[in-house]
Amino acid sequence: MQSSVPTPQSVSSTGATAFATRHWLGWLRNRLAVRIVLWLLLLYFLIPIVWSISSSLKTREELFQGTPSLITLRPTLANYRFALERFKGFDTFYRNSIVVTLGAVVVQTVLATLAGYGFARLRFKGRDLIFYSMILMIFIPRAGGLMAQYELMNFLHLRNSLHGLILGLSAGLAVPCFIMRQAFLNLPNEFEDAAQIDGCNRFQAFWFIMMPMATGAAVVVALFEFIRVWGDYLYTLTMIDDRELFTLGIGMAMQFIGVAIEFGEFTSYGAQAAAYIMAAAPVVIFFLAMQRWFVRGLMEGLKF
Amino acid sequence: MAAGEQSSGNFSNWLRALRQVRQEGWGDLSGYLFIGPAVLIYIIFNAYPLIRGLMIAFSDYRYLLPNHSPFNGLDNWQEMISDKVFWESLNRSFYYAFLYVVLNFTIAFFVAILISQIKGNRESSAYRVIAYLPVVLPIVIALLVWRQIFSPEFGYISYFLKQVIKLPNAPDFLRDPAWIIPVLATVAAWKAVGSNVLLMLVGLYNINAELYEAAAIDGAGWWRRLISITIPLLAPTFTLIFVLAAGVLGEAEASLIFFGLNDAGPEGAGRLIGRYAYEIAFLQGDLRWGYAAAMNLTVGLISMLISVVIFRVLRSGRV
Repeated sequence: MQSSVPTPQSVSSTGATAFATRHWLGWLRNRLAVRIVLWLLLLYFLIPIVWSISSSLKTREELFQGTPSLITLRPTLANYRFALERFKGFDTFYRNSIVVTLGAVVVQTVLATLAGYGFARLRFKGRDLIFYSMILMIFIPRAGGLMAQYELMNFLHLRNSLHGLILGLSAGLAVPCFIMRQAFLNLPNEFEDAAQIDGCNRFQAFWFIMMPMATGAAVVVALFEFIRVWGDYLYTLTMIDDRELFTLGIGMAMQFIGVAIEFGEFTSYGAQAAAYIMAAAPVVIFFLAMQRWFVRGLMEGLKF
Repeated sequence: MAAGEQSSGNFSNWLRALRQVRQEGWGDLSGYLFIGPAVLIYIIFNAYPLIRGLMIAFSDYRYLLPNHSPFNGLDNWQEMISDKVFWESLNRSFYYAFLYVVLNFTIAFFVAILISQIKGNRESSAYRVIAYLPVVLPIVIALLVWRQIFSPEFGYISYFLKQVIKLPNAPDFLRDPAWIIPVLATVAAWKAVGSNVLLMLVGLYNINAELYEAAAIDGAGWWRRLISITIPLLAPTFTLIFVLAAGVLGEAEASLIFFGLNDAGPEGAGRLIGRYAYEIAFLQGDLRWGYAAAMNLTVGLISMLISVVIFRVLRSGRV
């Protein structure tokens, strides 16, 4: 079953083209007007990011002139060098973020894929009960959850540690399982039957036949989780005490907020911006690389 | 496909599954191996804390005092009612949530409508990516960047107000108590608009183009088409968005990041209810988990109530 996202060509949201093709001037004005307004709105999304990038590339003189400008005339990488040298612990934070994020993403994707297959394709006692219990728990209001997790992690001696962090951040498995189950449900049965006839056991059938076809959904899950875990703040803040174990989110917040509005050691906003760009780069790059999958998966997945 | 329908659909599914369990055969035991790891982690790190957290809400559990967790029923709520800071923070959160939803929704709506007008698939895909980019940014980075932009010394906004519009007394957005909540709401909304744009686009793309053509033939202008076709047919999407947004009431992260852990903003103006609960639980005094959990539960229930009301209202208005 191939459900493709309805493409824009199939929609004429205000019947514009139907009417306007008869009047080429109106057509031109319509197309142009839409784009102009759209770009104005899109600037709203882009300006903070563009501002950061250009700030990070500005020279000292440009940074301290009275008028902050959006474009930089003489780009320089000095700010990046400054940030890397002076930002104590930046590489530690970076490394921790990578470890935790990769760990959580791998754990969740693998577990959700296995579970999704189990929920979708295998029959065993209590299968649906377990699944719907997990789903229903999403709707229960959370109270004291963070505290209970703190207590639990402490008890398990997992609290102030990176692997504890990975496990804790991998706990939100209800939605990934839902997505993977949906993906497996949408695959035709025939492949499995053919595999069984050929003598595969359950796991072989899963690994060689079904999973490759569900890769799209797995990518969506991985992406979502990557974005969520890379930017996590509250959970990590609560669980981690040691500075060496901080991830980027906490590290940057500690460095740049602790000294109120002034910048402390980092006396130029250009150097700060350089740090921000470096911290945000991995997740943004990953997103841009995967975006076609991601957006399509998101929009298609909403048609369950 | 509103969240409300989802939950009621899932609930009846759950009931059915419950009844089925007795009749079901043991089936393929390898299934347990497949779901095992995921379910195990879920139970230990998600389901258990959920239940334990609810239990904590009904006790006077103070973390720093050893062995001090007497069950005290509804006493936490009694204290809450007379807690002035609680009501202040709650009001601020309502204000924050209101601004957040209005900004988020209107901008997402406009952007989605405009993007749906673009005919090229590549082009509209690029626009979707741009709109979603802020969602991808880590919350810490987003807040820090906006802090720079709002900063009176270096920020673009004060420069713009002072030089371009020549406003004599541009407010110090970061230190003026009156502006804190709008600033926080603006940044939070900026970050979240992208998701709603995508949600609305799904709804828009699902509207049959022929409806518009028929209306155009009947002489309806673009405004009329918007009111009579687009908005009513988007009702389920709107419902989903509003229901999801009700959870923003318990928001704590933004305030904690923006002002740090020790400072609730100028004159405490940044203290939203979520932040207040976090302060009580982890930052101040005895670390009164019981009280904080009770507060979180209250806010959670209020959010749920709002979601249900919104869902009922929007659904009955537009069948």
